[in-house]
Amino acid sequence: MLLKEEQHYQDALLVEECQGGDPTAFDALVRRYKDRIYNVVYRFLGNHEDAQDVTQEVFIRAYKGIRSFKGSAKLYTWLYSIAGNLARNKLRHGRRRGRDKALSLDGLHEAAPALAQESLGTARTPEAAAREKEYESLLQTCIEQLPEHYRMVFILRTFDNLSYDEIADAMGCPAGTVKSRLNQARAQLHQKLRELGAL
Amino acid sequence: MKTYAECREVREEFSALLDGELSLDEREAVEAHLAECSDCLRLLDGLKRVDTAYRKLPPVAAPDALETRIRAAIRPHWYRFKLPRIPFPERWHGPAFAGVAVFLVLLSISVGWLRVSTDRSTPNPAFSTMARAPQAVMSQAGNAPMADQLESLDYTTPAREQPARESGPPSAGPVRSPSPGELARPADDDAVGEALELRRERPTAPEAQAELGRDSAVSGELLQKSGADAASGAAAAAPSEAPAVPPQALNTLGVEEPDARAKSASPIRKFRVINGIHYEQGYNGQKITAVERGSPELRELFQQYPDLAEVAAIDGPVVFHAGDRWYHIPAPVR
Repeated sequence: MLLKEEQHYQDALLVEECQGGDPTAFDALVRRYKDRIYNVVYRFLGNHEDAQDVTQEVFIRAYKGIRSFKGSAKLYTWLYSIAGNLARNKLRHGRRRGRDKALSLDGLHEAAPALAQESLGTARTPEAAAREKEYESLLQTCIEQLPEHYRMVFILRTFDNLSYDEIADAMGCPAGTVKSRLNQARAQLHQKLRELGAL
Repeated sequence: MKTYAECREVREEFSALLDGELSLDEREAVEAHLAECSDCLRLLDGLKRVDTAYRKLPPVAAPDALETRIRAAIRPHWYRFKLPRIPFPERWHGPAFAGVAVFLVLLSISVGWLRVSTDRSTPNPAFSTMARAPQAVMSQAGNAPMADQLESLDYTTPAREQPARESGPPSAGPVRSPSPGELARPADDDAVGEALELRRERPTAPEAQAELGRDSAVSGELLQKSGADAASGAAAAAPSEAPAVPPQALNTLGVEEPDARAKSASPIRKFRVINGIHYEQGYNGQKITAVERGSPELRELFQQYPDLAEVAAIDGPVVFHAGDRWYHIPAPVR
């Protein structure tokens, strides 16, 4: 049995137990998906605090709605669709309240090439580790500058390795739209990183 | 030389190429273009490096506390699996439950009140018939139906067992025990009666002990004759009828409290009220001995059958039985 199929089967069993009223089965689902959801949401929002709030809300919504969840669908695409909606709401809410952090790449222009070089090296000195962190932060900042509908597609593909069809399920759009959005997202990131000299 | 349109078309497929989402034909077409277009090849290489850079980012794990936090957040929603959804806002749930609780309490009180009220006002055809023609009723197959109807009318006393009721041979009627001193006092009218249910609470342990002690002094000989039954039955002796005796008498009589308590609840006197007269269950036209309240005869009866103290407390004329006889006491003088 393929890994994804096995995962899908196990998810279906857990969902069935949840729908039968067993809350411990949902605990198992939480353990199974909390890290994946959190990673995606964090990459989308770039904020640990907000990511925790959204992840918690994702599972609450999922728990409330799991009785109506159809076994034919994939659980994780359903969870990602909830996560995407909540993360977008969180982002808009944060913008309205002026909480959006100032995204500026100006200061990174000079440091970016060095950061990119350091990230490619194997030296694990504290300084190298610190520069690697900065490079990661640069990449994260670039993601956060993508338009919302490009951002989530790119994150689901890059960080969770979902197929185009799975992303289409999660985003509620056709697979062709996923392909074009993903292409646009990569092109924009390439453009930004080239401007920064980080490639 | 590739045209701009061709390059644009191929570049739209780059992500799918990188992700392995192209079919074989599509892939061969793109690769054929790349073999001749260095610009597109360079762009593809740049996109690969972008993808590689992001894929190298370590996954961000959720904090350990997040799972606990999620569980705690979900717990209040557990009941939703068990209970059907209530079709009104959640903020009304508390008041609604309180209202239901109050309603149930009021309902139970009302049912209890209605039961007593119904018992008082519902005519008993069996009794009415008997009052009109007692002989006819007695000639039927016993008074079992009437007894059934009277089952709901309890007058419980913590008195002793009444062997005469249970073991005495029938004489005046097919069911009732013989009444040597019976005095004919048929029900003299055909009015429908009221039902009354009286129950006496079982005495608490100190009460039973005190009553046992008190009664054992009054009817000590009886206790010695009939043993624990008589002793426990004496628990209902009226204070006015029997002098108090210290509880130590219990030991001298060898009566243990648990036995007394166990037997105290066994006798039940049931009454049917007809035209204001309380008729004890089982009465179906036997002769009645009239006894005046406060008379020596009644006092003697109370000493012999202490549970009758409760009968005397009934507000109204009462027909009851003691031993093998039926007695009548008039309403108390006001």
